[in-house]
Amino acid sequence: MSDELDEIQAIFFEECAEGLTTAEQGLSAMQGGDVSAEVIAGVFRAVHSIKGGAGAFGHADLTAFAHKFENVLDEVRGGKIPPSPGVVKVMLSAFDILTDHVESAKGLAPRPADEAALAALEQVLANKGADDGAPVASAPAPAAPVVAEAPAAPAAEEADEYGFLPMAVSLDDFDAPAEAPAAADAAWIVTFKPSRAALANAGEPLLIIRELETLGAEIVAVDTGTVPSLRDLDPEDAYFTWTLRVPGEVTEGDINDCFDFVAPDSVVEVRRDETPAPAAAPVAEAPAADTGADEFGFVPVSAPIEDFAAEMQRVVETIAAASPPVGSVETPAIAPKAGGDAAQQTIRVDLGKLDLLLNLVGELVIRNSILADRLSPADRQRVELPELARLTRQIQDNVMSLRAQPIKQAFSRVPRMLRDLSVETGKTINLETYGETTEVDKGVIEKIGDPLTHMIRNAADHGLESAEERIAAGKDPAGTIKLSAEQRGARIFVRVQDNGRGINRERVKAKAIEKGIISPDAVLSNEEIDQLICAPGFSTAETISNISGRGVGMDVVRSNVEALGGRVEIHSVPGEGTTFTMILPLTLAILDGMIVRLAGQRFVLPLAHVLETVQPEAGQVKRTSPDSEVIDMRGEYVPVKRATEIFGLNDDRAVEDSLVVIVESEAHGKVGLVVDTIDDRREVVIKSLDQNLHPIRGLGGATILGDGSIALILDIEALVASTNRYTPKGMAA
Amino acid sequence: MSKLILTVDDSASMRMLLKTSLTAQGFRIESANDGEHGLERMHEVKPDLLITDINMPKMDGFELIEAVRALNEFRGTPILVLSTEFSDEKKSRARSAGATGWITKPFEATKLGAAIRRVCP
Amino acid sequence: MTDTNDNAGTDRKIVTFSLAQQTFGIDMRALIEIREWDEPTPLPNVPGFIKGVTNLRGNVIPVVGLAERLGWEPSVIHARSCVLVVNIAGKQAGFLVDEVNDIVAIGETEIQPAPEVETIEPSVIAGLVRIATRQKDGTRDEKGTMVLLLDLDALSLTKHLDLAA
Repeated sequence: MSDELDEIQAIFFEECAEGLTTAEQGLSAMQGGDVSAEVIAGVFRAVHSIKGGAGAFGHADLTAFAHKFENVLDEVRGGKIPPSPGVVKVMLSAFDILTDHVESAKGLAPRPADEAALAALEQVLANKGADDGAPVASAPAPAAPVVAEAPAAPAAEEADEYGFLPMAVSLDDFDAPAEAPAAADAAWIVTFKPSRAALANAGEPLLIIRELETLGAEIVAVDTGTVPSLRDLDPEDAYFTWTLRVPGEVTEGDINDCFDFVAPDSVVEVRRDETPAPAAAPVAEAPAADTGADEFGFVPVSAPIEDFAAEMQRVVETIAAASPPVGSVETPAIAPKAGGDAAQQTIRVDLGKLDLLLNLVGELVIRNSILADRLSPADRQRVELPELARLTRQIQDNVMSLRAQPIKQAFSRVPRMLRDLSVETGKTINLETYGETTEVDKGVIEKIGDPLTHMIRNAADHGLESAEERIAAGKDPAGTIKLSAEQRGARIFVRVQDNGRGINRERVKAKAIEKGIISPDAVLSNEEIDQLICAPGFSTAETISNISGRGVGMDVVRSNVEALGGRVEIHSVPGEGTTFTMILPLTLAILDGMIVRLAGQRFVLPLAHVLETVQPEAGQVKRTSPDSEVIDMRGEYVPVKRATEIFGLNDDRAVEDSLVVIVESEAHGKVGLVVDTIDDRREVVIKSLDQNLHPIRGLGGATILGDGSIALILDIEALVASTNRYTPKGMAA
Repeated sequence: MSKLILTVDDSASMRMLLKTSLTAQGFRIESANDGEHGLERMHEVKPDLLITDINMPKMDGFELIEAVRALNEFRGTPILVLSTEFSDEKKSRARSAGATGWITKPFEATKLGAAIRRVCP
Repeated sequence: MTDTNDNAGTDRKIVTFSLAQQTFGIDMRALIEIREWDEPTPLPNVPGFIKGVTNLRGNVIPVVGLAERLGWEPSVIHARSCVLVVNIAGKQAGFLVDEVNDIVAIGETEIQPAPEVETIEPSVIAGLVRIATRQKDGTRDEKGTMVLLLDLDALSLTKHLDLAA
C-alpha cells in the first residue's frame, strides 16, 4: 500500500511541477500587464491544486504556505485586491517560496525560510493591496536559519492501515452544531425538521432517522402540521418534523454527526430530556395509514418508518384520496455540451515503454528498407510495399510525436533563476523568451536543462555589465537576456543572447596561454578565441563568483551538447553582447542516411545535409594551399574536406576515383566531402556512442546495419568545422 | 452490490488517492478529470454517489452539480463536494446548486468512507 | 581437490585468462559473456587501445585491447583469442584477451594487496591471489600460479576517455 501511495505521491509532485509552471506563466503574464480573469483564475487553480494535494499527503508546511498564497489569489480573483505591480511582485516572491516548499516536500531541500513572504502576503491581505508603493518585502529576506518546526502532521508511524496520515480537520459540513461534551445520563430529545429542499439535494431525511435509530433512537412523534393543502403541496419537498428520543449514553457528538450534511435551513435541536420520561411506551398499533385525515397534530408513530416517500405518499393519500396525481416538477434538462471540444484526455506512460516502442519502430523501419532492397525491381513496384513503407513512416512519426514536448519545460526554470541571479549580482535583468512552444524530443529536453542553466548564469554573470558600467557605456542600465528556440529542418536552435559587453578576446587569449591551453605564438581567429571559452579548465572570471564558479564551466556545456549530437556556437560583438547557440538534433532516434565508404569502411552520412553528389573530372578539384582544396561546381568554388584525413584513415585513392558529396552545413555553408563510394540510402536507428563509451568528435553515433555490422554516423557540422591546421588542445583527441 | 462512486477531480493524484482509499473500503470507483468529463461519465457510469472537486477547468464543480441536478435521472443521487475551499459562501453556493454535503480536503480515508455511507447507505 | 581452494573465507568466483604470458582474473559477477574475436568497427579519434565498436545484441559496445590498455605489447590475434564482455558501472565493454583459462573460486582472505608493480597504473590491479592451475591431464599443479586481479572500475572507459578526448 505504501508503494502505491509513493507512486501517487510521485504523480502529485509531477502535478506540482505542472502547476508551478502554469502559475509562473500566469504571474509573468500578470507582471506583463495581462490581468485578465482567465489568467488570474489559472494561477489560483494551480496553487489551489498544490494545496489540496499537499494536504492529502501530509505536507503541512507546503499546505500552510499555499493556503496563505491562495487566500491572496482568491481576493485578487474576486476583485477585492487589485493586481497592481506591487501585489504581483509579492506573489512572484511567494511563488518562488512555494517552489522551494515543493522541493522541501520532496525531501530535496530544507524547509525554506518563508516568514518574509508570508508577512508580505499577510500585508497584502490586510491592506487589500492598497499601499501598493509601500516597500513590501519583495525578495525573501535572508532570515535567520529557521529550525524546521515540527509540522502539525503526525509522525509517519501513526499512519493508518491505508497509509494515510490522520489530518487534524477532515470533515466539514454546511452548518454543523459544535460538539459539546456529553452530560449526564438523561435521554436526549432530538428534534429534526429537514430543510424543505432536502430532497432536492438528495439529502434523504429518512437516512438520518435510520442512522439515529442505529444509535438506539426511537421516534417519539412526527409532526405533520406543516404539510400544506394539496394545492400547495410539492411532493419533492420535505414537510415533517421528527422528534426522537436517543439514549442518554450516546454522545452529543455522535448525534450531531448524523446531521453532518443537513441543509442550513434545517432545524436540528438536541437537548437533554429534563422530565425523566417514562420509557417511550411503544404504542401497539398505530398504522401509518390511520394517521387521521382530519387531524394534523402530533401523530404517534411506533414502527420504524419504512420509506419516507411511501410515508409521504400515504399522507398525501389521506389528505385527498380522490385527487389526481400531482404532476412532476418541470426540470429543464441541460444537455451536455457538444462533444466537439471534448476534454483533452491524457494518460501517463512509463517513458521506458515509449523508448522501447521507438526502438522497435526503428527496427521496423530498417527491416522495411532491407526488405525493399532484397526484392526484385518488379516486386518493389508492387503497391503493397510502398503502402507498407508509408504506414511504417506514419507509425514512426506518431511514435516520435509521443515523445515531443514543448521546450518551455526546459525554459520554465529560467525566470526564477534570473530573479535569484538578479538579487545575487545586483543587476537588473529583463528576460525575453521566444519560441517556447517549439517541440523537441523529451530526451533532448531533459538533457539541455543543465547546459541551459549554465549558459544563463554565464550570461548574467559574465555577459551583462553592472548598471554603472552600462550607464557609462550609454546603455539601458537594465540588461536583457533573450532566450529563444526555433526549429530549422531537423535541428533545434536554442539561443541565449545577452546585450552585455561581449567577449574580451584579449583577456580570453591571455588566460588560455596562461593556462597552457594554447601556445603563446598561436594565431587564432576571433571565432577560435571565442571557442576557447568552452575549452576544459577555462574560466574568465577574475574571482570565482558564486554564480558561474560552481565547478562547471562552459566546457561541460559543450560536452553535454555534443553528447546529444549537437554543438555550441558562440557569436560575440564587443560592446554589444554575446550569443550562445545550442544546435541540437530534433530527435535522438532515427536518421535518413546515405551509406558511404571511407577508406573502405562504411559510414552513414545524414541525408538532411546532402545537396548533390558529383564524380569529379580531372582538374575539377584543385589545391589552394598544401592543406586545402576546392571543387569547381559550375563556376562556384566549394571547399573540399577529406574525412579520411580528418579521421586519420589511410587513403591513397585519387580524387578522380572518388565521389564528392556536396553538403550544406549550418556554420560553413557548402562543403564537399570526399568519399570512396555510395553504397546505399536508408533510414538508420541512431545508437549513441556515449551509452557505453564516450561521444567522439566528428561522429554523431553509430548504427547497426541489416547484416549486423556497425556503421558510424558522421557529424557533418563537426567534420566541416574541423581543420587539420589547428586544433586547440582539449577540443579533439 | 457495493456502491458505485464517480469522483471528479482535475488532479490525477487526487483521483488515484480517492480510488485507492475508497476501493479499500469496498466502494467501486470511476473517475473523471473535469466537470464536462464528469457530466459525460454520469450518463455512462450512473453512479450511486458523485464526489466532485470545485475548482476545475472547463466546467467547475458548481456547474457540474447544477447540470447533474437538472437531469431527472440524477435528482436523487447524493453529491458530495470534496474541496480545499471551506468558505460559507462557497458552501452555500454548492448547497443551492444541489450538493448533498461538503467535505473539506484533506480528507481522512475512514471518515470519508463514513460520510459516504451516511448519504448513501 | 576441486575447483575451490579449501581455506577460503567468503568465496568469490573469478574468471582467469592469459594476456602477455601473465594470468589475470576478473570477478565473475562483472562478466556478461565471452565471445569469439570478431574484428570490430574501428573508431576515429580514440586512443589506440580502443579497437573499435561491435554489436552486442543491438547495443554498440567498445572493444578494448586489454594488453595495450595495461601497457603490454598488443595481443596477436589467434584462434583462441576472445573477448570478455563486462559490465563496468552500468556500461558495457569488451576486453580482448589471449585465452580464457578457467573459472575458479577464491577466498577474500587469500587476496593479497598488489605491490607497487611496474605497470603504468598500479591501481588497475586490485590484488594478487595464488591459485592451483589445471594441467593438461586434468590434475592440478600444486605450486599454482599467481593471478593478477583487475579492478574493473579503474578500467572504466568513460573515465579514461574523459581525459583522452
